[in-house]
Amino acid sequence: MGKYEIKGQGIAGTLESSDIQIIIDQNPGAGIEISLKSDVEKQYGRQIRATIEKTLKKMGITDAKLIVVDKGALDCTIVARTIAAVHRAAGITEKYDWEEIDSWNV
Amino acid sequence: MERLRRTMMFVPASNPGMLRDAILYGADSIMFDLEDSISLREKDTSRFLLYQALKTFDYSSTETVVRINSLDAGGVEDIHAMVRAGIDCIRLPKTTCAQDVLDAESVILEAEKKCGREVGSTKMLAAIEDPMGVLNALSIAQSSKRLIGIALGSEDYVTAMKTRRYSDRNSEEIFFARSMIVHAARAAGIAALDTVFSDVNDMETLRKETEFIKQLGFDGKSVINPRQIPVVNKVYTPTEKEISNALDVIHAIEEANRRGSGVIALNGKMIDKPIVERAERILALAKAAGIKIPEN
Amino acid sequence: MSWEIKRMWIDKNLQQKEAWKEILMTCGIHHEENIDYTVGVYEEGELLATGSLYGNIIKCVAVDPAYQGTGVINSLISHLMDTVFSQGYQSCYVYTKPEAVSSFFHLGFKEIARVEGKLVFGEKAINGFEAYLKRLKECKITGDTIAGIVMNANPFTKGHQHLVETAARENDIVHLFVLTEDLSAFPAAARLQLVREGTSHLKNVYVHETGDYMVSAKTFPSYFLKEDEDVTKVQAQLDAVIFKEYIAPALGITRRYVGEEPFSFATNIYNKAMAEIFQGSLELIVIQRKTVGEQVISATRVRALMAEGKIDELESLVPEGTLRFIKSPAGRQIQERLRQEGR
Repeated sequence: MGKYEIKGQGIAGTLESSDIQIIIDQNPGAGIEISLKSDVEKQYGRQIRATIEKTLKKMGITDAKLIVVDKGALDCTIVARTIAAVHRAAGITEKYDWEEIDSWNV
Repeated sequence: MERLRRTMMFVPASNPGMLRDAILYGADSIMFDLEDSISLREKDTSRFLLYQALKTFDYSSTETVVRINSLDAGGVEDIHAMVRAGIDCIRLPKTTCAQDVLDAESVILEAEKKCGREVGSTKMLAAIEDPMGVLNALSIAQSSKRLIGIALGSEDYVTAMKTRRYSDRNSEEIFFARSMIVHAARAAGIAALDTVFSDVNDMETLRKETEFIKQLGFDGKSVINPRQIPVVNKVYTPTEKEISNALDVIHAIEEANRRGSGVIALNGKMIDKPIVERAERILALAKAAGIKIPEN
Repeated sequence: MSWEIKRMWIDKNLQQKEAWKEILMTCGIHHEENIDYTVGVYEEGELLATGSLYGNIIKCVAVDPAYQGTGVINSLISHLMDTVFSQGYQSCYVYTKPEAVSSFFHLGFKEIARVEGKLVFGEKAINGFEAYLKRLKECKITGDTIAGIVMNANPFTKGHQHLVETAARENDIVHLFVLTEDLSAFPAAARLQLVREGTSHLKNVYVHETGDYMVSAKTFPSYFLKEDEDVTKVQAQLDAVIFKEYIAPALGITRRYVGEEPFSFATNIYNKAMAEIFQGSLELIVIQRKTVGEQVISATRVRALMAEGKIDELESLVPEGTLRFIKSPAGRQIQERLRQEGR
């Protein structure tokens, strides 16, 4: 198990314009499953999924079920909301490892 | 030349759209808020959001400031994240004494060392928001080399003073606090920033209030809505006459330099350092306001 | 965006309650009692929208027509949903008019079921209705005749036992659902346990929880139905649709057993609505109530006797396990509560 073990449901983000709401939970042995709803799904759906998957991979998460509602979020917002949702799902509320978080940006 | 800080725009860090658009409104500084405008539930998510925004968006020459939470309520985490994200300046809330600044400074120092950022490159701004802080304004203003200014936060202050804001009565209730802060800032050689004006629809009172704090000597004002920016900036825009006088001073300096003369005079009067500084500041304000300065 | 979301104290502040009722009325919604959290979206002191929660159910959402399509609803639902999830709920539900459902779909809600022209029941959850049905399907056992029963069992009586025994005798398999919702005098865990105990002698009976998908009158909202609409009927129709379209197929159920209730108006409406929806696909079998003396056995009567402290009279009404529970410390607490409520 990596450092970011999903222990329960975690939610981050809002449904306001330019934001994205991400809810994440366990998905033992079943990989990453993303159910996405977006107003720009046709043009950007793949990119949104890819950004989330990439961020989860960097965090060492291989199994997770997510429901995502996008309201036109930029990549950096998607990344921030994913990271926040995982921290909440992992029950981490203090002593964040900013050095590691920083390394995911490269 | 010292940076202009006419307007410091307040942007809640919880809102991705506002983080993206903050640069568009022409504020001299952007103050991202992690403190009072953020609900407890959103403290952690907003910190991540602001972190990624600072890493991603180019705020170019606009000064980036973050208002952190108090050190015992998430502020330490805020500092570590923001120093690493490359923020220009950390604004401390509710500063009551010099020790508050020193406590935060030691966390900033630790954060700078941890992420390999140049020690001392993170600046600080202390917000004074209660009577104790007002009375300690000078020692606060002199407490750290990192301090670029002190700011008045009037909401908590008037409450602690058992009064409220009376914008319709010349804000006399905060006159003492404003005077203390502008004196302390000037004595310490740092910026003095005024409190917000909260009625976003009353531009006339905002203009009057800004004229008043400019008269007192404040460098600028915090704003809570982009629409307030042009009003404040306009008050800080020098008049044609001020600009023309300032140019005269600059021309006189240039001529004296050409002649190798140590004494600068204009129209029979000595030009000393304060006059030079004032002229430079007026030209900077004019430039910032988009006024073309004739070059010679 | 210049609006802000503020808590509304509709039970404490009369002025706020009036403002709340007014905006609901503008949207053709009447107010409802079963609510435990209400917020308003304000712009410069003006109320633009409101929404409420009852547990993890979003209720009484209304947006001033002038502000529809401005994103106000997104802020509002975000806030309500976040409030639900931060309390540890795994899912969030909404009941809404079919006309208003699309704005909820845009916010990531999925439809569970609908009563045409009346209402849509939607949810937002990672492991929601689909996951519940998947778990149910894993419990599927083959048989020629498979029956289903749904009960609250508050508490489990000899009447319930009689109903289950009859179904067990007449069918190969019986799937027995106990309401999960924790709003009854007897807590959900105890009700489930007493049902298990009281049916353990019936080897072809399988006990399940209803999850959040079969609801009680308390949870069921009435605020957007017309004044003259029969709430019980619509609730029954929704329950029946969910049972017919999802629960029954998941387990291969072809018959639903219910107890006859000649004296309860509500139950009669309920059974009638169910029969209409089931028509052509499921058989509804109404079993006559078991009687002791001249009175039918009902959970209502059991609770009334408990409130009066007449524990000795319960022996003929409830199975041994239920009686033992009623006499236990936990049961005595329930007696005490019933006694106080009865006053």
